Order: sequence, then structure tokens, then C-alpha cells
Amino acid sequence: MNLGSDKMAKYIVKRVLMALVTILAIASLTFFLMKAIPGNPFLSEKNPPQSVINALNEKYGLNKSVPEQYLIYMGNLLRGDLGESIKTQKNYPVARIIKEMFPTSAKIGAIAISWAVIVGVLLGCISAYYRGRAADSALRVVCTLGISMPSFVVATLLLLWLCGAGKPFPTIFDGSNWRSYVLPCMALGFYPMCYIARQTRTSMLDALSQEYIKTARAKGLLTRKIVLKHALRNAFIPVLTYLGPQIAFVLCGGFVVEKVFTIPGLGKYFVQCITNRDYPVIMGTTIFLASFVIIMNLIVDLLYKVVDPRINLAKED
Amino acid sequence: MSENKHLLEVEDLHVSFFTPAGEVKAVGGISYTLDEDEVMGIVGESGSGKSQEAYAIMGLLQSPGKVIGGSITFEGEDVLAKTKKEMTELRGGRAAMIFQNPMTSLNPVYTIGNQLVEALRAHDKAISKEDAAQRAMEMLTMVGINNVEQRMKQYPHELSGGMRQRVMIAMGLICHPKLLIADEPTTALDVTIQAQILELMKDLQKKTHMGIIFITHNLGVVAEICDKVCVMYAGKMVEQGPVDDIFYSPAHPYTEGLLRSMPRVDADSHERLIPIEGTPVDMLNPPEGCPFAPRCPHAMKVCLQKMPPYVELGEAHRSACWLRVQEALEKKEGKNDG
Amino acid sequence: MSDEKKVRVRKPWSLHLNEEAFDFGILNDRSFAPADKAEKEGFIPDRPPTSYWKDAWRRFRRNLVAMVALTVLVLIVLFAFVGPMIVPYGYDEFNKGAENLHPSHYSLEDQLLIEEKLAEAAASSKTPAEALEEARAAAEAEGRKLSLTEEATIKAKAKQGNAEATLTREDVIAQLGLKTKWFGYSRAELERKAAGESVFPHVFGTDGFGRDIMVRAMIGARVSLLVGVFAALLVLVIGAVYGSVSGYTGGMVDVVMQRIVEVIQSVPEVLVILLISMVLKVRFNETLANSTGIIGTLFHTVGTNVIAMFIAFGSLYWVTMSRIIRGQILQLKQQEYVTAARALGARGGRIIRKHLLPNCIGQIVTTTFLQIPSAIFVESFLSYLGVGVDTPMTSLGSMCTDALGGMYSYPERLLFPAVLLSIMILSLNLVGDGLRDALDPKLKK
Repeated sequence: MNLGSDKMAKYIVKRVLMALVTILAIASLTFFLMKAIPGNPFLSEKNPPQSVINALNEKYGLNKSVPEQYLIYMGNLLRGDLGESIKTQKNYPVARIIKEMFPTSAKIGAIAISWAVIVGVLLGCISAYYRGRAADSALRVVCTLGISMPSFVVATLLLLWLCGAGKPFPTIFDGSNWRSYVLPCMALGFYPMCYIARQTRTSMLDALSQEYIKTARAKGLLTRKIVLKHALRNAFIPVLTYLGPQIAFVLCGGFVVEKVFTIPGLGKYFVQCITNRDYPVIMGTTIFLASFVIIMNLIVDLLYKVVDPRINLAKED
Repeated sequence: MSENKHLLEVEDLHVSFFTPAGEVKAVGGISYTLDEDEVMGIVGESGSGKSQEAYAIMGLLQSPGKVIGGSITFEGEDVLAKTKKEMTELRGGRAAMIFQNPMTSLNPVYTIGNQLVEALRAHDKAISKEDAAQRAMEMLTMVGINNVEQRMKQYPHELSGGMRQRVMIAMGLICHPKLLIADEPTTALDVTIQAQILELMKDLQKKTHMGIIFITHNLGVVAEICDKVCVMYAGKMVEQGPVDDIFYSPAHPYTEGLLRSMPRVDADSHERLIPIEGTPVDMLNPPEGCPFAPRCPHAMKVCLQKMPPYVELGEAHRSACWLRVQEALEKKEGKNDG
Repeated sequence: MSDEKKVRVRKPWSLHLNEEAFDFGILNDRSFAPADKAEKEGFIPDRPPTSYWKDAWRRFRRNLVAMVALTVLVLIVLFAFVGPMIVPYGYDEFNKGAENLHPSHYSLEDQLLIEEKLAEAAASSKTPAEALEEARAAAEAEGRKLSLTEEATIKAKAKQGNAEATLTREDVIAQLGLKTKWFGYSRAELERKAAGESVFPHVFGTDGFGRDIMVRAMIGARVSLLVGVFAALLVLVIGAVYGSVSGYTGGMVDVVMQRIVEVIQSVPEVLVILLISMVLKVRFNETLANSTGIIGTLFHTVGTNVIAMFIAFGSLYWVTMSRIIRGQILQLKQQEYVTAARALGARGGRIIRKHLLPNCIGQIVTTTFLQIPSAIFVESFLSYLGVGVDTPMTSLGSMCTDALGGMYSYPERLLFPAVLLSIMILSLNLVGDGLRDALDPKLKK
């Protein structure tokens, strides 16, 4: 037991370190990409007044050597300074933009991922239980279709068919009206739902083919109990590992879904910044979102280890 | 129970798997009887249908596997005619089964205690949780596990392989079954642990007087524990008989081969183990004739044409081999001549 | 010890055969002769020796869903690659006079009929001024003058009447009970057709510039498919090289390389791909705009965006592939025949070719193939955001963005590329699933 918890602590430390390294890698990548942008990415106009240039040089140390610039950039990041917007909302700190815009996106994303997990696991179990029968085939086709439709297709189709006058949902997003949330969350959660359903089906079938299921049957348990107690718990554990990538997907899918439904969230803003080439916002937001995903991944991963009593840490290496 | 009533009677059992590629005749006509207090070994290499035959008795055959012929009678009841519900009651109640790999046969996410209690409560709905736990601990003690209170709270991965197999046995025996089917219970274990588990099973068998079917590919294990033996090859029973007859006067070349390929303690150190040449036949398109013929050193023309009939060789000892048929015919001719 | 070998007593057999149940007819005088080797070998029915691929194809053919998907995929490929040769319009050609066509039309006669009706309706109604004139003339004839209030009423009435009488195009069509015909034709094209010329229809209609949407969809599908295939190949090459180097070298190199893999694996790919391709696109546009030579030509023909996207894909997506290959190599390294081959002086390359590939080809093919839809997926996402394929080139994703503006008036401009894209990815996914089942029967048990 002691050995186990010792191993666990080691594992946690290792995973946290990995996450930090990954965030560092993304921040560095962002820095070098910024350096690769022709001209000065911090400037909106071609020939700015000298005073502006001086101020920028002061802030980012642009006239210093590249390693020094790198250190200054990293230092700024550590202090939570992600730079300032140069176009979309001129001179507005990126950190503040994120703070104001992210909650809306996070809310929609959270709703989307929640329903995706609940419905996805349920459908996956149904599909596995009725393996090879009509319900299974239908669900499989629907779910494969679901992972084949980009979010913008789902979103625009929903908008086209269900929004507007005389239809159940409003065209203009209104944060205080629950109806406004229905379609974006649906569009955003559809892909993860289908993905999770597919994975659940696979892991459920895998669980059902395990020896311990045979043991449970040999014990004389009822089928219902075998599925609900012995298979589901085991099948659900691997589903947790797909959550991390799905969170990333929902965040990126948020870009287009927010754009389609004109939701004033970080995603729509981000897309706008891509069009305007507002580099500091793009870079800052990327670092923020990437870190968010990595940290969520880390949490999910550690959670996984807690839920699964087999601490197969030896297998990790 | 009257003399001629057996605990288990299997008559001409046929099991097939209906795969997309065609019908696989996993078991093609097996017959035997098992009495209380008797241990029977079923020996054969992997894929010979020995496990499928056992699953059929327990109603554990998974689609696309199906019993397509024959009968199974357990304590005078027709097992194949039972409903799903009746089978659920039978399984783990009067008939129990333990499996080959103790590493994977216990559910990794539940404690030992949980899984033991569950087995008991599936058949004794009236028993309280406390009593059930008490019984579970008694069973664990009986299979030679110490520190049972703590063990009950442990997960399978915290136990060694031998320990897990003991737990499996405890789980199988918790409802005092009349019949225990052990599907290669020692194959996945270390040799020393194997011996311990065999010892335990022998011991338990003496205490409980249950009938045991011991499925294995290891003739050594059979010699340890069994009273009689069925030898299976490619879904067919090629020889069956009391354990001594099988060991000392094997009547089928496959049995002989098995014996020759088995290391013996008493063997001359210069004696070589002789493997059986070749690979088993394709079960998808089994040819007419004796399935062992292509690997048989004595194969005759007739072996390739027709499956041989059984020849009685002694009390409860019979074999399906053309060599024995030939000898039987010659013997009769000799008698007639003389 | 050996001298005292225990002698086993062979019990005499009773050898009793139930002759009543025995059919002696099957025996002849040759029956008990030993079988020769050829006979024994011929015993096991000769299954035609099926190669791995033949066997896989047999399994694949049995899979109905996969076969349907494959058929659809072939149709889409034909659509994308043969289609543009048949349709006489260019994907970036502005068809003057054929702007904003729906994928349906009214026949020339119907159109004339509609116009006639509308003209009639216009003629029958009077403007307020005309109505006033008439009323004044009538009043004068009666010898009186109209009061201002009366004049106002007449004008208002005329106006109202007009509004009632004015028929919209839709009204006329409904009145006449006209039905649309398939495909889009402009008026001029219909007239040319009537004159006996053969005119190719705009099957999916045209956009605001008069570009034929079907041709654009064909080219878009072609671009998406090519991007998918090349991205998958790129991933295959990088993953295979990285994985085999990592697995084969082992030791510290392997440890470091695997740490890098872990870092890349936990990166949210799409986000980083978005960033990389966006920056590289700007960079390439700047530096290569005027460059000539091979690289310049390459960039000009393929498009800087597409190349930027490939680099982004290539830098992130190879991880899974490299893990598969590394795993296989590690497994192989432990196997004796590889040690033997090495002892005999076989070189690494030969070992990989002879021993590694046959072992994991199924998994490699499946993973590579499934990379195609996932690359198309990401490509469409990027193109939709305006970071991917750019004008004048088009892709299904960018067509969807273009269509957003007139989404309510011209929903088909959105639907055609969106549905085509979804069906394409769907069929690729289903074929990929089928491939996995066919090539890796172990997975299907």
C-alpha cells in the first residue's frame, strides 16, 4: 500500500512536470512564430510614429538580442501579461479580453461536454448491449456521421432550420434566454457525444468480452447486473481518457459555433482577430486555451488514476 | 441416489460455432458420465473443444456458439431444456466453474469481498450482508488464505496469482456446488503454486464429495488428481477410460503421443521428449476420417476416409482408432478360425 | 537407475467392437495398408492458399457498410477528378449574366408567361395621378369640380387598389401553378438552348460572381481529398522514420524522443495547427511572393496556405504513427529470429522490410487511411476560419464560409458543400473502419 501511494506521488509529480514542460513548449513556439511574422507583429500600421516604436521596444525589448527578448516575453507571461490588442480592441490587454470573454465560452463548452458525456455513454452502452442488432447499426451510423460532420456544418444547419421568426429558437444570441443556449450547445456537443458513444461502445464490448464477465456469468448473476455492475464500471474508466481531447475539441469547435450563432465569447472574438491579424490576441489566447486544455488533461488523467484501483504505473514506462 | 443415476450425463454432445466463414464444429459427439465424488479429466490441446464442451454444460456458450445435438443431464434434469432463469439459478449454485487465468477472471474494480458476497447473495437472497461476509471469510480460510478480514477489502491486483486462484475457488465453492468445472485452473500459475492449488483441490474434493471436471492439456495434472480421463482431439473424443488404463495402456496414438511428450520424473535422463509432429486440422473444414490421421505415425488408408468407431478395451475404457478396430477384427477372426 | 527402469504393465485390451453398428462395407483389402505421405498431405482439403491481402479483401467485401461507403467514395473521387473535365465551366470562371442562379429554373415559356402576366397586371392598374385625371374629367363632364378631400380620397383609393392589384412574381407563379425544373440556367442560356445550342446546366446553381457551384464543389472536394491524402502520407513518413529510429536505437535517445512525443501528444493539436499555419502563411506570402525557381513554382502552384497547413499537420500528427511503429520495433527486437538475422549480418533496413512490415502493415494502413478524414476535417475547419485554402483555390470548407452571407436566400450554396464534405468524411471513416476490421482480424476476435 505504501509503495502504491509512493508510486502515485511520483506519478503525479511526473505528470505535473510534463504539463509544465508542454505549456512552456507552446509558449516558446508562440514566441518563435511571432518572430517569424514579417514586419512587426505588435504594430498595426506600416509606418508608426517613433514614439510608438520606442514604447514597444521598451515593453518587449525589441531592440535587444533574441534570447533576451525571449526571457522578457516569458517573464511577461509569468506575470500574466499576454500583451495588448493591436486592432480589434486597440490597446486593450489580452488578459482582460480573455477574462471578460471566456466565461461565456466556458459556460457553453461545459454544458456541451456534459450532455455529450451523459448521452454518449448511454448510447454507447445501448449500442454495445444490442450489438449486431438494428438499434446498434442505426446508432453506429449516426455516431459515425456525427464524427464526420465538422461543427460548422452542424451549427449552420441547425441555424438554418431551427432559428428565426416562427421557429423555436432565436437568431440573435441573448445570454439571459435559455433558448439561446440550446442550439450552440447541441452543435458543440454533437461531435464529442458521437465520439464518446463510439468509444464507450468499444470499451463496453471489450469489457463484456473479459474473463471476469464470464466469471460473473458462471456465478449465476443476472444479465442486468452483469452489464450494470461489472461491465459499465470498467467500460467507463477508459472513456475518461477521451475527455481531455474532447475538451480541446469543444474549445476549438467553439470558434466556429460562436461565429455562426454570433455568441459574444472568446471564440468569436478569436476568429475576428484571425481575420484582422491581431497577433498579440491570437498568441495570448492560444497560450491561454492551450494551457487550459493541458491542465484539464492533467486533471482528467489524475482522476483516471483515482477511479481505477489498478495502479498500473509500471505500465506507463 | 440410486446406483445407475449419475451426477452428470453427457450424451453425444455437438457444439458448433456459426461464424461468417462457416460452421466450426467445436465439439463433435462427446459422451461421458460423472458421479459424485469423482474427478474426471478432459485432456486435449488448445482448440480441441474441451472448454466449449464445459461451457455448454454451464450454459455459458457465447453467440455464435450453439449446442446443436445431444443431451446433458445434471442430477436427472435436462440442462438444455432449462430456461435462462433456471440456468442462472444453476450456475454458481449447484454447478460452479473456475477459469484458467486468475489474473483476468476477477473484476479489477471491485474488492475480493464484494465479489465473493455477490456470488453468495445471487443464490441465497435471504442472507444478510453480514452473514454473507462471514461465510465469504470462512470460505477464504478454507481455501488457505490467512488474514481474511484484510483480504476481503483488497482488490484483485493486490493479490498474487496463486492467491487469486484460491479466491476463485472459494467463489466457486461458496454455494456448495455438487459439480465443479475447473477450466485449466493451474495453467497460468507457477509450477510450485500449481502443486499447491492441485493439493488444495484434492483436499476440498475429499471434504465436499463433489464431482469435478478437470479440463487441462497437462497429463501430469490428470495423473495427480483424476479418477478417469477423456482425451479430446479436434472436437472428437478419441479415448476415454480410468486414469490407470489411459496411462499404462493407452489405446490411441494421440494419447501415446501426449504421454511421450510429457516429462516424467521417473524417466531415464537419456529418454527424449518426443513432440507430436504437425499441427491440428482446420476446424472450419474438418475432413472426413480421423482428424489425427495426418499427424499419426500409424495412419492407414482407412483412417483418411472414415472416422473410426469406438472399440471397448476394458471396463469403461474405449478408444476410437482404426488400429484397434483392425485388432478387434483380427482377434475375432482368430477366434473364429480357432 | 536406468537399469531399474520401472516396467509398465500394459493391461490386455478386451477389444470389443460393436459390430452391429459397424458398417463393414467401408472396408476393403487395402484399407489397413499404411497411408503414404502424399495421401496424408492431401487429407487436409486444399484450401486455396489465400494471401493476407486476398483474405483481407474477402473480409472487407463481406462488410456491407464498408462496401457501400467504398462505392460512395469512388463516386466522390470520380466527381472530384473526372467531373471538372466534363463540365465546361472553370471553377474560377465568372459566367456573366448567370449570377445568383438557384439550382432550379422555370422554362423559357413559363418565364415569358410570368412576365406577360406581370405586365398585364401593371397595365391594368392606374397610378394615383391617372385616377385623379380620370375622376377630374368625369367631374368636369358633370359640370362640377372635385373638392380637395374628394381628390385625396381618390388618390388614396387608387394607391390602395394598386397595392392590392400588384402581383409579385411568386403570386403569379402560384396562380399559374408553374413548376420549377431541375438545374440552373440563366435567361440567356435558356434562349441559347432554345436556339438549338447545347448548354451545360449549372446543376448546383451559381454564386454571386456567376461561378458554377458544382465545379467549385468538384474542385473543393479534389483539394480536400488531396490535402487529406498528402497529409496522411506525410504523417506516415515522419511517423515511420521517427518511430523506427526511436525504437531501433533505444537507450537514452529513445527516452528523450519519447518525452518529446509525450509533450506533443498533450498539445491541443488543432489550436497549434491553426497558429502555425496562420503565421507560416503570412511568412510565405511575404518571402516567396516574388521568388522563382522550383520552390517558388511549387508554392505558387500549390498555394502558400496549403503548404503552411501541411507543415503544421506534419509537425504534430505523426505521433500516433510513430508510437505504433516504435511499439512494433520494440516487440520485434525481442524476437529471436531478428537476433538471428542480425547475427547473420542483416542490416537494419532489411530487417525492417522483411520482418517488421509484414507484422504491422495492417495497423499502419488503417492508421494512415483514417488520417485522411481527420486531416480533411481539420482542413475544412481551417478553411472555414479563413486560414486554410485561400482564393482563387477553393475547398469545401471555404465554400461554406463564402455561402454564409446569403445563407437564407441561397441555402443550397451552403448545403451542397456541407453535405458533400460530410458524406466524404463519413465514407472515408466507414471505409477506414472496414479496413481496420478486415486487416486486423485480431481486433475483431
